[in-house]
Amino acid sequence: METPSNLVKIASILKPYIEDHEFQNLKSSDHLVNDLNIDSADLVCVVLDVENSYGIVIEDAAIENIKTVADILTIVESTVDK
Amino acid sequence: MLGNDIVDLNLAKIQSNWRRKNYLDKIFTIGEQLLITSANNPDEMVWLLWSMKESAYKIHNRKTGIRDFAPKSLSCTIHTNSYGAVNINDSIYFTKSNLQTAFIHTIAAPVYGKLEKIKVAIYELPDHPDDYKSTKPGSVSHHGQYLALVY
Repeated sequence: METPSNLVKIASILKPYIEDHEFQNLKSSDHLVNDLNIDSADLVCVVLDVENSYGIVIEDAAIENIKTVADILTIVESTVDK
Repeated sequence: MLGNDIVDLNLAKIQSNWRRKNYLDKIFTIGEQLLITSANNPDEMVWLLWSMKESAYKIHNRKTGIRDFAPKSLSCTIHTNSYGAVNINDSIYFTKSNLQTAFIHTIAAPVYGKLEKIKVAIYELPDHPDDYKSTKPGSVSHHGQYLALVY
């Protein structure tokens, strides 16, 4: 289940990579590339930051499905719950 | 169908720390990682391989509609410093790269013979044309100071 605290935590991870630094209202439906303009090379850094922050390993197959903030939340919450 | 990708090396140097733990493993195949670690200039090799993957992905994405972020599913082969190929599942895309001190630019095509017919225009800030879309480029790439168009 998506929790507000995880959304806040993910937002803080994403913040340095968002080109529009005025971006304030991160939504779980936001597309990482199309809405947040995160550079494709930086998506890898986002994944690594999420892994380090939560102490998890995100498998390659799961990375392929990451398109939105909600996708990150789903992976985090399903992995942390295990 | 064409693809192209430009990497501003000065921006990449400060923005993307490929030396951080596990970074290479998330993007590059074992063979590509060997190319990087054995290269005389590992930074150049990282961004050469990246631009090859990106340029091929742009064609593959349009061809198949698949938009998955799966850089390791794109496997690069370097034939010479300039020419190479990228395999994605059952597809192969041919690439030609221009390695400069300030940028790396790669063009990609599904047919090897088309590479020499591709026209390339690279612009550096502040000289980006405002109306480039009206010229109907086959592919557009933008990174840092650079805008690259191919026809």
